[in-house]
Amino acid sequence: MKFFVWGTLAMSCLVAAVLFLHHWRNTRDRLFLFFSAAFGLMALEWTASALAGTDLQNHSYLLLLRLFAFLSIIAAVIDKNRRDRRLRRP
Amino acid sequence: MRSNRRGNISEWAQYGKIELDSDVLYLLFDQVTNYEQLEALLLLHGCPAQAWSVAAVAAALRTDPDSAASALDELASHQLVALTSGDHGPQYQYSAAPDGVGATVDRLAQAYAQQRLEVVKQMSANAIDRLRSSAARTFSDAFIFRRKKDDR
Amino acid sequence: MIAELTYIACALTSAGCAWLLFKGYGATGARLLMWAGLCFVGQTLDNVVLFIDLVLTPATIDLFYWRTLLALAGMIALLFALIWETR
Repeated sequence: MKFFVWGTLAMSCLVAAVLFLHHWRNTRDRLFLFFSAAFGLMALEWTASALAGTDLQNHSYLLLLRLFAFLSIIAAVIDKNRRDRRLRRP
Repeated sequence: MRSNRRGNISEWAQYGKIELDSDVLYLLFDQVTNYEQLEALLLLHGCPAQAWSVAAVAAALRTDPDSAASALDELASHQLVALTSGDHGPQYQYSAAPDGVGATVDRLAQAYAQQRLEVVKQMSANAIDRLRSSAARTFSDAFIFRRKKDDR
Repeated sequence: MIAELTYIACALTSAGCAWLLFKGYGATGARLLMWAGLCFVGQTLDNVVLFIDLVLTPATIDLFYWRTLLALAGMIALLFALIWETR
């Protein structure tokens, strides 16, 4: 049952990553690229968890994948706000 | 099926026997987004030394002053026209840099004069594109921290 | 220690994203933002329950299904938002 849950999580994160990539291609807004990377890393984390067959506390690389995923989201928000301030400057 | 959007647009534009180069296409997609803005820009481009009031532009374009003001404000935000405070109130003057975006506006003016329909078709296609991506832009804009006074 | 800090940081990031999205939903009424906000609520709860699971509860208690199913519910909400609400 655990493998089923890991699998569905990995697949749903992957699909989200692809959809964000599609929106990046349409809008050229870097935020979508960062989000695509974030969810791609989450998909990788869930896949790696399934392959390892265990939870995060035993494998530090799983922790790193999750950390980089959320750092990517933080980068997306910071980048978006910096660009917005620059474009709004008279 | 949608492959590279810009590539498809260039091919279609050439089929219409008018070269809308990529700079003009970008200008039409990003900075000149409706017909009032296009007409206002070309009006001011035609008399670059003259400063126009909102009322004068509205009369020339046969539109209401609010639409004219909104179009001129949008053009000013892209530095295509400049807002000056004259003796008779705020006035707008063509200000696109001649060696930069001004050259693109020149080509746009030429295209609009020679094959107006193609330019209009392009603007309609852009409007549809913009509508399609509006939901995505709503998502993206949610992550902007706005100061209280900037809240729309 | 680093693991615990990471989960807390991830939980705070997700909570921040959820807050921004719900604020945007309140301002614009765009349902896309509500569903996306629910995704990040799910992510937040995943990280919080993971922290509880690893740090606060004894090894005999396994909260795996609690946190992963919350995360999965969030992902379903996000996919719904990205597919249905951005047509």
